[in-house]
Amino acid sequence: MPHNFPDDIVVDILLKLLVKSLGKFKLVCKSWRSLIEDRQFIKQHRDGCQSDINCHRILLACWYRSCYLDCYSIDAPLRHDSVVSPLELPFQDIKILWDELFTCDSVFVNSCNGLSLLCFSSDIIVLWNPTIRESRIIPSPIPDANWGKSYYSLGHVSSFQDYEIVKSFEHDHEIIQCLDLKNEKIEEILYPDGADDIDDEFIFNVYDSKRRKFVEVEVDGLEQVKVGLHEGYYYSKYVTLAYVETLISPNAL
Amino acid sequence: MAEASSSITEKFFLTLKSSDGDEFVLEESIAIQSITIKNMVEDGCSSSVIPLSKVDTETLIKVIEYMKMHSSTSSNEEEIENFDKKFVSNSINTILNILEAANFLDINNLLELCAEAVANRIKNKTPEAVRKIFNITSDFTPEEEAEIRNETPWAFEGNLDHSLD
Repeated sequence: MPHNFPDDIVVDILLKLLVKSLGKFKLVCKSWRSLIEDRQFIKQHRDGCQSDINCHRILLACWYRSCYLDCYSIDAPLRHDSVVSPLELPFQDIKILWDELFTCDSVFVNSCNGLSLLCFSSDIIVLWNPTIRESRIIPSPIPDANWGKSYYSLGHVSSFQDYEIVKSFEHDHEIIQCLDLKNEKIEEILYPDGADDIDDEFIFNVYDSKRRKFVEVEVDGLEQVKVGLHEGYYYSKYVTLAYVETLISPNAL
Repeated sequence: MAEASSSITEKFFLTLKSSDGDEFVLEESIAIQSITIKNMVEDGCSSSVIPLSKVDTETLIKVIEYMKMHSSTSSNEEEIENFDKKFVSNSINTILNILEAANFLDINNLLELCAEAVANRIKNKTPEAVRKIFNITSDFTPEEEAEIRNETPWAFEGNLDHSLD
């Protein structure tokens, strides 16, 4: 029996597929391609992926004697038979970044909705979706407000594809800077009064991107979480980052 | 008390008619898992036979089988799970027909079950195999096809399944 499926049925099926299959099925026909590239679909698919453990991955970067860096994607949760696939870092041809990978410990920062944030001490930021292998370089997005080390983090604001990079400073506890990735606009946000006066070591002031304000968070029995991989025989250093497979392109925020 | 009163309640029956003209009599409480049928009952259009012009006999038999198994009164969880597992092992064409019917009849959990099953069956297939299964003719030029393959070479890595079921 010949089928002529309405779009809503095709979407129901496509929503159940992983990013790799969706990339492949853009080739089926023009209508499937536009369904897969539709912003609303990408959002719906992302929501499904967040709650589906089959879409969760762990990024593992391993250094070998400061001269090689290998990157892998591992199926989560970690099991002895988890599938491990090699990942190619997006900036192999940018020498300054490549060199810095071997000198800086904190390049891999965090991940949000499938987008990973990579930060270099030269204040160059790379947004990378390892699943669709797309990246965007943001050169010196936020001017330095002070001396000393600065820390970055990627946050999802509220509406779809509305992200911001938050920068805080080691020696300035009065202000943080937020870069809105859609408008490339910088906003400065003050720490709440008395933020430094909290004595309790289990209470932190955390910036909430969604609500655009600081909230006090109590961490009960704070423990350092360690990944069950020991310093390897071959690798001298490793870093892990959990992420979700999504279709979100860093170039279309 | 609740049980006693429900057993006295008169059972209502509906007649569903497939596109092939076959009629099936079904308890109303089972049939209203279909929101489409439920709305017809509430609007009072169900006094005679309900014609389902988009559902053929083979498909309607499967859908009724599913609704009977999933109706709230009978069957335990394990039975339902085993039934669903067997249900989705039907040929992909059959599942697609049921999916279409579930969409038309608005039976959400059947729709979810079939969509998941189809996704599982096609996930490793080539775009060519998927076109054949869905009876789609490609409207890309060879140049456009090459361009898409170039944009996302990672999507075509590994072993691809050419089979049609």
